[in-house]
Amino acid sequence: MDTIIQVQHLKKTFKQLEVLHDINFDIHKGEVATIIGSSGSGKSTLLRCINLLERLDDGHILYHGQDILERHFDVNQYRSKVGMVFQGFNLFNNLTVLENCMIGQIKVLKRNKEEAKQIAFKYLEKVGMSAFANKSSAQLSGGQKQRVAIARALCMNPEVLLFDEPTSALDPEMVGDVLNIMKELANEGLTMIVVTHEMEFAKDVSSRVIFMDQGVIAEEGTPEQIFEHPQEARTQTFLKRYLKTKE
Amino acid sequence: MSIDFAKAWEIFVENISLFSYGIQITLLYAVVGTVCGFLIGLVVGGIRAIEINDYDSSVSRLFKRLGKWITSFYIWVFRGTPMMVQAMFLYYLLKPAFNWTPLVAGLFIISINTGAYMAEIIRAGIQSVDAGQSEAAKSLGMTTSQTLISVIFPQAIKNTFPSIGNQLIVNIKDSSMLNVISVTELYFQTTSVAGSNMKYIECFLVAAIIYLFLTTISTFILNYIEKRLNSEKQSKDFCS
Ligand SMILES: Nc1ncnc2c1ncn2[C@@H]1O[C@H](COP(=O)(O)OP(=O)(O)OP(=O)(O)O)[C@@H](O)[C@H]1O
Ligand SMILES: [Mg+2]
Repeated sequence: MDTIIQVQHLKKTFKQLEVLHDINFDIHKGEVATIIGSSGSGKSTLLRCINLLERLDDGHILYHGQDILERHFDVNQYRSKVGMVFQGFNLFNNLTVLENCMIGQIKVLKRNKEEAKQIAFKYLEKVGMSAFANKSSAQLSGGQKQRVAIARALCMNPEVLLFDEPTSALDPEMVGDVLNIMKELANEGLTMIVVTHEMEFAKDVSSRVIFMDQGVIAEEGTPEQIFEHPQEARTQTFLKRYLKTKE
Repeated sequence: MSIDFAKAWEIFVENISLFSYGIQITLLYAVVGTVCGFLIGLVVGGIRAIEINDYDSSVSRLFKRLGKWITSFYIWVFRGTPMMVQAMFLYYLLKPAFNWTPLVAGLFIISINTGAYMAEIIRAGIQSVDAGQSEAAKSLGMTTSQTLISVIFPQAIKNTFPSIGNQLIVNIKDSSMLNVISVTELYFQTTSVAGSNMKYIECFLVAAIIYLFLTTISTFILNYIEKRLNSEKQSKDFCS
């Protein structure tokens, strides 16, 4: 299998607080890895480290075998291949929907305007937002913003897409739309790492589930292994508590 | 105490060319000072808003520190001393080197003075932009300067536009201080007129009304631009 990202002995500390200890995992092409775990377990921090929005304190992240922390590694080129969808959408407030989808293509991929516009429309179409191309982001609902944010990331033709709780800030009736788009992307073979509290989604869509607890990967495996036969007591407790709150 | 309004009008009409020259210079100073000060403010405010991270290499940390030290010194000095004193000091200090006229020296001084105020406005504007905006730009692979120019500055400027615009109003009035180096702006011209006819009250009534007129018009224009900014469906150059 084609390995895209390898995380090796990753450690991250904020001031005194050690948030991630010795994290190890690989992401292969076409895989959908979901990361679950209770609040504060370090899920977001892990994704942010992979995108280099946070600096690691120790360990390595390899991209096709290349250490992304090497001095001469082209971080911006790497980031254009490893996209990110944020919990809070982070659409550019000064730009329209269409411009949000074009700016990265033009500035980073150096596509010309016509091509960028065409590609932007293609992906806006895909997320059902092409009718909003000339709206500003302030005029959109949360679910619409997140769909545009996904289109913006797709426009870069990423190899891997990182999602940090993409539906947590949404009204319940908007969640389904966004999850359906993500399912579709998964079915098309896009490699994704998804931090989520949507257990149904994790069960249905992921090829692998990673359960994090207090800064370590406590357990990982197929959805069946994690949801039906969790081995670790911590995983069992987490899932039990989760099911309870859901009822 | 009495004001002879008819006399004031007469003085204004008689000296219209002197006053109108003064108005032109005052407007020149207000506009050039605000525009150049704004550009200085973008650079200096940008440097002031740079974050020093503990993972930066020691060389880049040194440069960032140096940049911050120089810019805060500049702001400290120019906001902490009167422009009149700055004008006298710099005009005579740099005269041998540049051999400059009061007109040019004055433009330099009002720009660099405004820049110090603009820098603090723009720094606050940059810091008012949500961190998620630059994270999103980074996550697309945009460089720091692309992020600043395309994402951060436009929002910082929009957020602080009332304060930026206010500097134009301030400069219309404060350019009068440059009379100390004989810049022939409105205040200086008024002094000349008053010196020849000795009608100080009437002359300065004329000046006050002209200043009020200029600041009022400018306020209207700024309010109009602000409204436009807030409702604008921006279509950026890279998209049209
Ligand atoms: N910038 C920061 N500075 C200091 N501490 C931080 C910072 N970011 C995160 N932390 C801490 O790191 C720990 C892990 O945070 P993180 O956001 O990764 O958790 P999470 O698993 O994503 O939680 P949630 O499900 O609530 O999003 C928390 O204890 C948090 O307080
Ligand atoms: Mg989180």
